[in-house]
Amino acid sequence: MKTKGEVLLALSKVSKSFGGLRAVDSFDLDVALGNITSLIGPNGAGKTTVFNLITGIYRPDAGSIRFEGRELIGRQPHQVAKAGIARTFQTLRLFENLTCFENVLSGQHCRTSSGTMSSILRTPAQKREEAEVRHEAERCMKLVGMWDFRDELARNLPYGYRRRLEIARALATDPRLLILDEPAGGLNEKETGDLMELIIGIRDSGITVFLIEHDMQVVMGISDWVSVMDNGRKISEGTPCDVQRDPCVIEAYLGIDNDDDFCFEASQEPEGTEIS
Amino acid sequence: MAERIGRADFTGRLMAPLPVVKSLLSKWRIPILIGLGIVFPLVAGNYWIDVAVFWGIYVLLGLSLNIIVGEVGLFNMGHSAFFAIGAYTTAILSERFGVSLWLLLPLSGFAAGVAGYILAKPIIHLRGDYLLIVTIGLNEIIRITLLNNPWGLTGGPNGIIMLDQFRMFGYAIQRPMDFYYLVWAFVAITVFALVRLQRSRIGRCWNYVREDEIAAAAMGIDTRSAKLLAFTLGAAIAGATGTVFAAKLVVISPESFTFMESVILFTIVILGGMGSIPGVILGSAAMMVLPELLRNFSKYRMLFFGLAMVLMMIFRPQGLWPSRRWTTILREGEGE
Amino acid sequence: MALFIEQLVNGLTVGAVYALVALGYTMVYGVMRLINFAHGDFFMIGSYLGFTLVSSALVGGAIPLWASLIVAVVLSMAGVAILGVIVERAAYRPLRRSSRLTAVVSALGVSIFLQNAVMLIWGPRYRAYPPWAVPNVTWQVGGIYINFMQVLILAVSFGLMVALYLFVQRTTVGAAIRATAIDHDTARLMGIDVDQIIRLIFLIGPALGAAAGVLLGLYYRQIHFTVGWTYGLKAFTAAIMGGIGNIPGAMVGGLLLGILEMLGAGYISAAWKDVFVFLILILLLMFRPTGLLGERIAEKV
Repeated sequence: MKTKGEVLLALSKVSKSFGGLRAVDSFDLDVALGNITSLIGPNGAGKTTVFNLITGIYRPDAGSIRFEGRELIGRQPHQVAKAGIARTFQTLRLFENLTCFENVLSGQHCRTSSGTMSSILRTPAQKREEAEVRHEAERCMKLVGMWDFRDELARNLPYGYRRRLEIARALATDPRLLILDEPAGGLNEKETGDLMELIIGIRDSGITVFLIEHDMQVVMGISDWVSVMDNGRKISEGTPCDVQRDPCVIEAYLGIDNDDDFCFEASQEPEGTEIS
Repeated sequence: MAERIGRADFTGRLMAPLPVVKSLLSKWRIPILIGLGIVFPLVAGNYWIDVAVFWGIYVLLGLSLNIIVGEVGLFNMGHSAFFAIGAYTTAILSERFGVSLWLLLPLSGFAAGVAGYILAKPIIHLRGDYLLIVTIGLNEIIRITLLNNPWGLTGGPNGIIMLDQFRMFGYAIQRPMDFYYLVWAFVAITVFALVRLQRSRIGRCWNYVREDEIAAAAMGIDTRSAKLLAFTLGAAIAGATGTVFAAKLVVISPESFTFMESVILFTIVILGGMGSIPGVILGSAAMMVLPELLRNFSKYRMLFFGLAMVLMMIFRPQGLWPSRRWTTILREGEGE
Repeated sequence: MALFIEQLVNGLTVGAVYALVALGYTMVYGVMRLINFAHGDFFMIGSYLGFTLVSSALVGGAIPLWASLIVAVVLSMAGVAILGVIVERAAYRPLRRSSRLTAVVSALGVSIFLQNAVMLIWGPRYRAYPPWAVPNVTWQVGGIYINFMQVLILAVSFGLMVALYLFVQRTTVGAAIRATAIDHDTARLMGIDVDQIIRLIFLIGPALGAAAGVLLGLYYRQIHFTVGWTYGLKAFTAAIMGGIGNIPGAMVGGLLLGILEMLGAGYISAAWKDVFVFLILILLLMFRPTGLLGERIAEKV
């Protein structure tokens, strides 16, 4: 039974500069357990950088990132994944020359331990592990509806399925937090609808979801909580409705010229938000 | 062009769901080949049996390099260094301490593996081109060290004479036919182990690292240790092969372990077909056997070899017996 | 102290040669991301062409020494330059869109082919530049001996390097080269004929290598077809030392490498000097892979 309001991932005053450019500026965010949290903002706001900071590709200059209470900073990407955070990539990084099944199998690598000798000798433990791994991969593929493509090479997949494969692969790592970087990018209306259903299904199965997205239909449709970034800083956060109406957000996206400064630091705790 | 890709793709579909040796599908092929292999020394002359022995040794070396270059995709052009370490370890320990050759097989493998680990650890993160140059540098360092006879260990340019032989139940392995069965038995064992490895978690892990390191890391794979494992294993197998080489040649000297030798090994893997075990066997045959057949033209041998390398890369970069994975990468680039 | 200065001078001399070869390597790598293994062999062929020209009666006897030396250098540069363009067209251009690995293997193939071609044409044994080709003039400067060849090498090398630097930095064509080094497609969009630029690189680079070959042949007098790889590898080390793709870097790297190698030979041991050089390479790549002056190639984000 998940506890609403418990914080799974906490970013606190996280900053990152590249040369003279402040990509992320004292960023705070709490991702609540069991929620779908979205991070939105104009292009170049620093959203993917936040993802890369969480997953260990970059190291923050300041601040802390705590996952399930433990500090993530300093961990390498594969350690972050092993700790329970899985991700997809904005530009899609599939293992192109391997089959879909092999792609999804990769997720199980960090959950298994057969070594060189046991693999050569095919010990009973190794055989058991192989069966479990294949079973799990099959489950993940069926969850996203890709089981029929299992023997197809990833490079031959049509675009809409490529995204789904990446999600299946991420799910195969048995994560507690799934980070999706613009999962709806390039999808048509129907595919977007299917994706929304899929993400909600993932959330309902107990995995917390954190996503970057530009498609407002997706963000408003499935998010429990939305955080808005611009120029590396958080400029607003709240439920989808709150954020939609926030003048700061409108200004950031549409650039309305306004002398009055409406913006203030939005730093509420996401307590007991309604799950629609 | 399209026809060539088509053939590789078709093979790819047959190979699903895991990358697998093509011959394993047509089950009748292997028993026949094995049968031919067993009968061969009984009908052939000693000269050709010897050629087949060295073919087998090159196959072992090629297989060991294939793990590094073919499975993981690391550019290693200094592989004969590990071969040398294995051979010299065997020669030194055998001559000075009388260690049995059977024991020296795993020992030399271990020594070479350790060397591989230590040497690779600080450089394994380097990008492709640089790793290539560093491995060449390492090869030269080791060769020159062997040449300079530090502490009188390695015998300098004349090398070491190793008189011991493999013995089985009192019978000494010294005739070409004996070595033939010994070497090809090792080949069989190694192929068996490598195929098993290819189709397991470890083999898959190497493929993931080779395909996309960042994605692999995001899936929880420690890419560094995966690469190190490949390097160490490849070095170890090359080292163990050194023992057999030393027993066969009796005299080992730095001449057998030059950069040119590393280039030949590298070429065997690439021209045979990277990541492809039958490709390595075929590639070694091309390198070893063909020149013997063309002995009359021996002066022009290397000339044609160089030409062949260029032509192969232009017209058939995926090699003689391609592994599905590499065909498209090599033809169309890494898409950088 | 005298030993130190002596080795320093030796080092500068050898270093200037490395620098010339390194320039070719760095230009090709900067523009094409290709480790041209055959580059060392262009250097080697230069030394052989120079040898033939200097030894032949036509050049050697008929005209004054200084003229014949100039002719030898210029003609061998020209010959190797043409060879460079041919090699590029035949072995590298078809592979431009393929993976880097195929280009490297092809380069190796070219290298092996060239080495063996030279062996078949000139014979497998060492050849030597005739002793009268090198004027035996030595000067004494403040207690140390500097000979004519050392001065000549330094002068010619520096001259060529400065000329190249000015060419790349100050001319339009040089700008085109720099642009191509950053991104082929964008350069094309700007109206640059990338194929032509690449052909130019393969004219200049090998030519410089050839000059180095002749100079070295005159200095050490003995030449052999196997030296291509060793010099090529060291020149590549020098290029990396200075920062790959960086022309001043290649010059600095070459000189520095030459000095370090000679100091190593003098103070440690001649037999281990190559080990010393390669160790430098490895340590450099481990701790400062971008080189002393920084890389000059575009990194894909």
